Amino acid sequence: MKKIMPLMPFIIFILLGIVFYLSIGRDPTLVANNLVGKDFPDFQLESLAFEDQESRPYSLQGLQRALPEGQPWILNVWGSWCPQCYVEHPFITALSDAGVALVGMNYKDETAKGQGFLKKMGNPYQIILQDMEGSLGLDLGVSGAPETYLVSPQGEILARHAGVLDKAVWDQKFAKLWQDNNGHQLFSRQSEATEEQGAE
Amino acid sequence: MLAEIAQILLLVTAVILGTFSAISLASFGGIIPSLQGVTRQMLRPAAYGQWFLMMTSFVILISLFIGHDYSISYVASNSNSMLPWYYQISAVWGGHEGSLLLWVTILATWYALVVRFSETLPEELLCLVAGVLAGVQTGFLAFILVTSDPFASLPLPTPMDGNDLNPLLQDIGLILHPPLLYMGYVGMSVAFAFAIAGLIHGGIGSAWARWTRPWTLYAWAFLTVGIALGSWWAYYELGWGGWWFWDPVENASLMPWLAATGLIHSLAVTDKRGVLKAWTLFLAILAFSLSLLGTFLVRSGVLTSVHAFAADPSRGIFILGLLGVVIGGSLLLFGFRAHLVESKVGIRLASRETGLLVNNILLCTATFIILMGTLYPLFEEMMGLTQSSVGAPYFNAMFTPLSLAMLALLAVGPRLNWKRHEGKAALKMLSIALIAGAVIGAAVWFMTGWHLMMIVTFILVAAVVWSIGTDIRHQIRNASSMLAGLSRLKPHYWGMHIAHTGLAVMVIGVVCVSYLSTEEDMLMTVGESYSVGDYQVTLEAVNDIHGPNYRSSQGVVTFELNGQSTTLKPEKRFYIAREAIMTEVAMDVGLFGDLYVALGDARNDTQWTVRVHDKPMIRWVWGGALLIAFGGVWASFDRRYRANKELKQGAAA
Repeated sequence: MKKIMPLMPFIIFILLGIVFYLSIGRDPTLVANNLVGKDFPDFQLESLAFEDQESRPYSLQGLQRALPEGQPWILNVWGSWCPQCYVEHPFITALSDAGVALVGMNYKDETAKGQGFLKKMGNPYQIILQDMEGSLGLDLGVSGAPETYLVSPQGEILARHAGVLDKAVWDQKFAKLWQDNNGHQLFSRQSEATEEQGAE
Repeated sequence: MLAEIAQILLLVTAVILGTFSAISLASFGGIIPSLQGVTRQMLRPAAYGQWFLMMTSFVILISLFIGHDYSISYVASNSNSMLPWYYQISAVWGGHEGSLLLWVTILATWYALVVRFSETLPEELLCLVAGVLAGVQTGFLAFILVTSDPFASLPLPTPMDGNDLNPLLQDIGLILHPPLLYMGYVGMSVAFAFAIAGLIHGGIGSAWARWTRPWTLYAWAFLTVGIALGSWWAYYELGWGGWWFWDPVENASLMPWLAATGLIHSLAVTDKRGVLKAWTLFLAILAFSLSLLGTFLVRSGVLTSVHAFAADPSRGIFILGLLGVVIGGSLLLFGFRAHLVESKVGIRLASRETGLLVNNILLCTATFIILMGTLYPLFEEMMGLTQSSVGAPYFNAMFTPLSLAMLALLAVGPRLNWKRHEGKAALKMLSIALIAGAVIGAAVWFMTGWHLMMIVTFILVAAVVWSIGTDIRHQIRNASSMLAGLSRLKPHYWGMHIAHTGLAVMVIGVVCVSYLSTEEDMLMTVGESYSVGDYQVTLEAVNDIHGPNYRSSQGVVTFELNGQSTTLKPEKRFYIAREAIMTEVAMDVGLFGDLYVALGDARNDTQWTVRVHDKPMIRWVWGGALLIAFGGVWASFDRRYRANKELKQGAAA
């Protein structure tokens, strides 16, 4: 026993090493956060002025009032500094075209750069919140951009996806929850969805 | 051109250090003793040469940034011609590749300093220490050259401008934070190298501990300041009153700190009494291993966090292999040789040694708890459960009782004598303290109605301060005057008490912030008063102000407490040209607390939403941390660690 004890740290290290080895290469963005199933946190944020939208403060209540009643909605976290946000943008636009209520959260960005991004890429969002300091981001457990949240009409966070949102992820993680929560039919014409995918 | 030179310099350094490390470990490790002469000759040229080469390549990277050389991939993706010059320099360590180069450059510096300032060390031990450092350095240079070359160029055509530095990192706190933290992380390599050299060479005892102590104290002080700076940054940059979030990256810096704190205490025992050697060696290996984990694992994509840089599996595998060799190898060496170093001297139950042993156990437990909490998502994933991250509630629940136990130990431990303490006297002292504490605590609870946890902590802090005071009085009891007595006390003694006082200060801050903070969002009518915590808060007026390029609504908010009043003026600015609204928070920063006011939106002409934070004693958290670090540095000035000419014989024997 006396001879085994000093070897214990080594044995523990080897076990940890195996865990690490098996964890390498897994998509780190899959780490779920424990906010799914909880209520969307309250916040006080300014919105981003863009074209006909003026900058004004929003709280959770104010946001919900401004969105279509009884419908689930999407919060999409993005930033002009985030390369994948450019990649994901066409699909976000497709969702918007399909009539999904989209809230953008411009994350740790600058107002002018955020506006430049939308000018270049188009604005799919009904409301664009600005989270310059990442305060709502922290409450939500945002690990980076892009990240997307599906929120029920009652304000419950139904699903979260970290990383680029595309049709496959939507079908797998969001589509059923969307329908179960009174979301209207999306992508009814199969061709339209494929077309949008092609555009990416 | 410059970039290619730097690449060659890195390669040359890796080859020199690899060779030196191999012959040093082989010759003094007893495999090829004939190479000892060569090792001795190479020792100094290799140490200073590698420092020169590493500094040169680091300066080259800085100059590439300042020269806007966007043909270099790393520069192009982390800088921009519009970036102010100071951010162009800090952008050097803004990404994975550059922060690795900073890491090895700092290691090169520690390595050169150790060789330069260890004339009194027996040369064979110094050769081994240098050999270990060179080996670690070689490994990470290889990592840079194979997977993370900051000097790699982009295919033509060269981009017109760079991608810009992540805006998150454009901040003064983040210019200083990584270098300080790295000084701490990397500095642990010195204690680690001493531990490995000691395990190979033998002769671990008082002299060995005395050589290791100052290096460990410096690194530990850097780590302390680095962590405190990170916490302060999170507080003012994120701006809603938190100072510690139990984020994986924060945990990754706290773990080596806890292990290193154990190490400096354990080193004291090995120095003074020549026992707990295996503990000391283990903690030295642990502190450096956790530093490596802190710097690299978090960046390999195994653990994600807001701070994590890149997720690249090939890097992950390389890092894991490297960590396997460095940490696994040293733990294996420890496993087989640790029982050889421990002296047969036992320690008595009532003694300073026992107190410090318990301290080691408590700190290791704390480290283990954080390690498990941080890695929990990985375990859960392995078992096929749904992933969830373990949040602050877990850490707070586990950490609070440990902290209380440590405080209690701190009140008693330093008062215990080395070797043996008169058991009865200790028991008597303890029971008086317990009864007095309980009585005072009950009285305070009855009068203030504070949270019980707060009162218990305050009593313990009071006991710690009282114990420090009595100890100093006891030490100077025979001096002719108080001043004469105080001036005769040694730096390592002062250092200990300064650092412990720092901890007491920090605990007061933590407890007050945790239990007495107020955060409220209110709808306020102009002219009316509201009570927030102990304050009477009044929104006196909201004035329209015209700035150079903005219009602003400026709130005038007064805080009244016991007849003293403070006025803060938060603003809501509308920048005309950019059509943007910015919230200017007003803060009153004070020794006994911060007040924070932000003006929300107007409901009508007289009603405004206002966010008010009252953070009592928050500055004490960082002030305490600085005191702790200062204590460590002060202790290292002790002549005990300098005048060891005579010890050279002691170690050789």
